[in-house]
Amino acid sequence: MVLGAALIVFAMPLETPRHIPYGPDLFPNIVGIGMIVFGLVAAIRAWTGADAAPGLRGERRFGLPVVAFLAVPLLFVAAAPALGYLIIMPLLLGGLIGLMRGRWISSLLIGTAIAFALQVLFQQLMRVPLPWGLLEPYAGVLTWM
Amino acid sequence: MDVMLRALVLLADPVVITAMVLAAIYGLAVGSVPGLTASMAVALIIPITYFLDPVPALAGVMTLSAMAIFAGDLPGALLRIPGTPASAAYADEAYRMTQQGRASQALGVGLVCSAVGGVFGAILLITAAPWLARIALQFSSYEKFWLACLGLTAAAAVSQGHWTKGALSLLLGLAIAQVGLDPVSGQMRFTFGFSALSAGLSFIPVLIGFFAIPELLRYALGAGRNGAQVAAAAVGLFHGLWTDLKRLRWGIARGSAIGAVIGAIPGAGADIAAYVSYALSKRLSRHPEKFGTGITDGIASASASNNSSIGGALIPATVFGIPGDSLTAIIIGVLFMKGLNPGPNVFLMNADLINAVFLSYLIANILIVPFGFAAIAGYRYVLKVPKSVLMPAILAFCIVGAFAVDNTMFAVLTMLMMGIIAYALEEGGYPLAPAILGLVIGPMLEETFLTSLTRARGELLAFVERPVAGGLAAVTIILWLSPLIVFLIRLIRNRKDAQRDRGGQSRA
Repeated sequence: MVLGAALIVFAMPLETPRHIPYGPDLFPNIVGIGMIVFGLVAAIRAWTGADAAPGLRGERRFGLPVVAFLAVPLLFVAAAPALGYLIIMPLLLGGLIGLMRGRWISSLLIGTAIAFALQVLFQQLMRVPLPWGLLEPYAGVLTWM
Repeated sequence: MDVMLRALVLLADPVVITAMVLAAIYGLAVGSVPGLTASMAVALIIPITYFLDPVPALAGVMTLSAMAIFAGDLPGALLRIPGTPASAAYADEAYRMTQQGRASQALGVGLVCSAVGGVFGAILLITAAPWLARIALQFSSYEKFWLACLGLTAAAAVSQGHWTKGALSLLLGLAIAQVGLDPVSGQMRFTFGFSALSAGLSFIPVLIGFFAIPELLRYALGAGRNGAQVAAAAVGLFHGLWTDLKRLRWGIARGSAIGAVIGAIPGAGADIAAYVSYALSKRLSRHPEKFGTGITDGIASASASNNSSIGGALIPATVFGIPGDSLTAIIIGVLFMKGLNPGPNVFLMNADLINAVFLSYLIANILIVPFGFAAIAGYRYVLKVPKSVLMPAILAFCIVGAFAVDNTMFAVLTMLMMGIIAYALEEGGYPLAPAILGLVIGPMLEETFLTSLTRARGELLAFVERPVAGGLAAVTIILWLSPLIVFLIRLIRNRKDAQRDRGGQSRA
């Protein structure tokens, strides 16, 4: 319902161009109204107990692994441009595997191997410009394909 | 026939063959890991297809889809954990056979029936799609609008859970599709000053987020970290198979036909096809009590059905640009990315290319037998990769894959945000498929709606004046009203029951 209302509110400033009879706000308004109506039905169903959300199935804990899985992409976004893919990804991946397995040295080695395999696949073979960061001066040496 | 020969020549290229073989191995590996779906396998591979030519890219995706759906049978039969939702219908039955020491029989029947179903779906696709395309060429924006509406309505109606949740999920997909340039006036919409949003949210990071991140989060939350491991046995895989296939030939044919039809209905994918085929086999069986105790009857029909459904789903996907399920929605994304814009014109402008794609799907389904046999033999090695390594590796793949599409960190953030939203949706019982379908069909729906409205000068009757448009509108509106009709029927029936009860009590 909130998202539907937000769609309508944010579509308000959109102006209809002179030569087109129906502007860019029409469709967002229809979708927004639909969201409000169906949201209301879903809320009533939940309130009357007709539609109890399944909730967390099985034994689940919001612990360090969840934080780590969410933090890895964020840390990559924050640190990769400065440090470079080849430095940050082995550390993040090795750290995450280590957290899950509990054996740090071998996990760091596995993480490094996987990170390098991905670098070969994406950067060397498919020419994806993964950030070099601190290794920028050595980019020529490290590009071997 | 000339078109088919030219299409075959396109496929007879070392790069295409290599792409198909690698995609087959990848599809079998991902599909056989419990929790990793065929949709996720395809979503993860898209960044790689981005850098390939259209034929190897699309032939690879087709091969991958066929293999991943079959591979879901492996953990289903050996661990009682279906590799993909498409194998869930008969995982219990196959596992019972494994417990009885008949794993080879269960897997052998599943393997051959998957190939038969897949070939049936592919032949139907090759023959029906160009024929339908000729009809679709007559369609105006009105028919296209109602087709998009029908597709989205069916997606919301047949999705798992209550239809309100399907509708909300669908509307969310439509809302996400509105970010960026408005398709008619070209104005910026919901970009909030971010230039990265001007072209809309990138499709691939959204898909990766939707299909991979929720599974990773569920793993991180502790669900599915453990699982018993059983060594696969490929010994005697084809022993007694012919007798089984001869006995079950009608069930296999029925499953293939049901799969193709259900697959073509937007929103109803391989999982629903398998459930319906299994249930129908049980209902029509002379010994329904034996279902669930470890017999091949249900496995044969349902495994033919889930593979056949992809061929069926590809018909509306390629002819009308309307995906049958989330897997074909992703395939449509790849078609767009490779300049093969789905629609009737693709059969005129790119006939060789689209037929090469269809042929690759047919070949992939034939290849299921040798590759599947090898997969069954080598399955023990896939099981040996611990999830504590596999899941972080998938996360790294997601990050690099999302980045590779636009070469921006914004794509990585999009993937993460969409993943969290998808996880919340799934935990709340909201199906993901309608959201994906909304995302794919949204721009087409808006464009055809506004174009039709402008052409009709606001006259809504014009939307139903043409016969085909009127027919499509009638079906769509009946589907819209069906919850109300069902509610009224139930109300009347309950009142009649109450009256009958009161009558019975007063007579007593």
